[in-house]
Amino acid sequence: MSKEAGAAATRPWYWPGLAAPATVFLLLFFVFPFYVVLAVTFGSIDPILRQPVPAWNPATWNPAILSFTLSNIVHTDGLYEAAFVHTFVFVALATLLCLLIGYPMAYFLARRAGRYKAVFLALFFAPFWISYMLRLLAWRSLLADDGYVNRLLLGLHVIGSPYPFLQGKPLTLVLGLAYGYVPYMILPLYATLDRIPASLMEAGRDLGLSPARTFLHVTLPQSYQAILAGFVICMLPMFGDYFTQQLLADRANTRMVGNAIVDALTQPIFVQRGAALILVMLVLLIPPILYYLRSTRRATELAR
Amino acid sequence: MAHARRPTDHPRYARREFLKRAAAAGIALPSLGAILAACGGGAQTQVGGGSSAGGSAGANPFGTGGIGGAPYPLARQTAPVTWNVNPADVTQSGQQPESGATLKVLRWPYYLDDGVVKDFEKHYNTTVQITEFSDMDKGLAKINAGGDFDIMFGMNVWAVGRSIAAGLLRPFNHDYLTNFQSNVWDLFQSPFYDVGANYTVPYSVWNTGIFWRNDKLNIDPSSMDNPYDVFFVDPPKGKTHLLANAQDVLAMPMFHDGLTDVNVTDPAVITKAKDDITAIAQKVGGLSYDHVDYTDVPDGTAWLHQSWSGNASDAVVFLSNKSDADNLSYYWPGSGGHPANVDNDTTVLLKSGKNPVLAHLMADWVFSQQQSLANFTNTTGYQMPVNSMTPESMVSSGLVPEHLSTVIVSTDDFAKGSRELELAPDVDALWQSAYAELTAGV
Repeated sequence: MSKEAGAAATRPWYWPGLAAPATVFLLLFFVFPFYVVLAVTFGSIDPILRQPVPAWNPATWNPAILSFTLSNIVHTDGLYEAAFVHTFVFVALATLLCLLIGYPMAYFLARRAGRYKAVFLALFFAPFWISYMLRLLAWRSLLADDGYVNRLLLGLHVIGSPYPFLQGKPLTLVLGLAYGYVPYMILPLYATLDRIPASLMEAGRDLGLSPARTFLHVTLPQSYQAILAGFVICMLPMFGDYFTQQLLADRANTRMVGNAIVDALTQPIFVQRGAALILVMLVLLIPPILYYLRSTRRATELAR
Repeated sequence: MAHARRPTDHPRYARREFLKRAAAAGIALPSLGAILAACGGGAQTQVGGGSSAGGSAGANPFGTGGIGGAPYPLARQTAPVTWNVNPADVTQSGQQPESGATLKVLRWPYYLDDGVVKDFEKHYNTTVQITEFSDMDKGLAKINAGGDFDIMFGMNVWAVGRSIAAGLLRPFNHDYLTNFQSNVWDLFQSPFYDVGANYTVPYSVWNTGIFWRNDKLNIDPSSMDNPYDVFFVDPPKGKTHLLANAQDVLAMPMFHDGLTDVNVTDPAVITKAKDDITAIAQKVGGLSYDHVDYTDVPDGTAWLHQSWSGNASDAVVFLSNKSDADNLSYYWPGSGGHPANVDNDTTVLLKSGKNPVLAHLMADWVFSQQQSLANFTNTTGYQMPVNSMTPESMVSSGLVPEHLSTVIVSTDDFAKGSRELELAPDVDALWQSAYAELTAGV
């Protein structure tokens, strides 16, 4: 019996004690705020100050706002229908783009960068040490009508007049999202690809596989879990993102759920709607998280 | 020179708020904090002495005059409101400033010059502690949460009545307000929203007009039969922006239609205004609603922007080359006799404060000629309604380019302009819903 296990056996509070800080943290910063969201959603509006009044007692909860919000999500031309459609489409495209950019990058870093691995890693991640807002401001500058991107495209005669990148273009938004979150795809991929034994690939080649087939039959299956992790890690923050749209594509035709939530929260009589949207998003995001956790657990079990 | 933004009803995002939000950028479901902030008020306010919703304000426990529709009277220029004052709440005359005190001030970000505050601290040998709020509703939540704040700079006129009804404000004793009495425009000595200025003194004034790039657009709203046609007839595609709040946005087509009282309750008029904006959005390939006209227009993101005069004056300081100011034009339709908005916000004393004398003195401090000019020049960009700030004086002192002198509001503008005022809750919901539909594109 190890020293730790021995201590745990004689002192029953040992493991719960270690978990206590995390438990308190979760209670304070997740469970309580989540309950506040519930209380606001099902609460009321102060008749004088016209501010939301949370209903702390579930017995007094009024479901009218949640019902209103849901009906405006599912009905065509509902207030939030387009935002949900935009969000799912843009997030899916941006995540896919992250994978297309991130996988080769991670593969190169893990398998081909050799002794310059650390240098390449540092170079790649250096821009991400700067705040996301500042980087998006730089994008605004680059993509402006008289920005470098338009100048370059005009100079190469790809376009005849400046392309309005910043006037509500879904393309700009998807590129912006992919740019913002691609490191979250690369990191788990890199960590996994870096750990695949070279002998596995050598074995594939020894058995007559071409490099492409070695990749498809050896490397890719080994990185499925990392791809899944990258998907989840990229998609979750993207679903709540509102800043990228505000800065790069601020028009109704690119509005995402995060923008709808922010708009509602800045208008006190609609704060309840914002809270209801948060609840809906949480419910929608739980299944992929559970799938990821289940998949990870299965992979771990298989690996034993 | 620091830059400022006019406090507004419900900013979508503005520079300072934008900086704050940067911290949350990229975080999933970033709104929990905002929800918590929104709940900062805690308990529901009590309507003391019964409600007069829907009735005339004559029987209202909070004041006389105004119109009905809310639990307290809603002020209109044609129906001024005199708020009740409990004599016990009034600070007695002739008292010395609280010694060794810390004056707790609430302000919008960059909406009270730090130099003005430092001078006050030095003059009265006191300490000022500043807390900021990013929009008016969060400010209301802060004072309703029970903090011991002494004074708030920049309370919107629409928030005054509800704050009085909620018992949050302390009445003024004008004996302490010597600068106010001698330097501030007459109309604010007894405004319609607070007859006798019992609870408010003005802070900033502005109007809502048309801001454009004259090097990109060949327009002259001043010579047009209807200046608002610039938004309706051939607006620049992808370069037309409106402000980001329900009343300014929806009032614009109402002004275009010739309405002078835009505090309308008729759903059909509100719907028509919304449809008019939708038509503009379709013409320009999607409208942008924002309060960053002071950067959008100078940097060319927008060529045509519905704008506040204070933001237009502020825009000049964003130019890397000051001669580029020649490319900026601003026009307030009211100056040509057309319907248009003119507005102000207020300074109020808070009942929760522990330093009422110092709070009075601080409210009055900013009205001195020197401090009001420093406040405008060094930080806010929004003028105060003091007699020394005229379009002529601002141009001659070089603070405002001559061709942008229209950004300076004069006392006459308040006679010409219309006010966008507090609406009854059910009517406000109609306006906000229409605006929400616009931003959602439905």
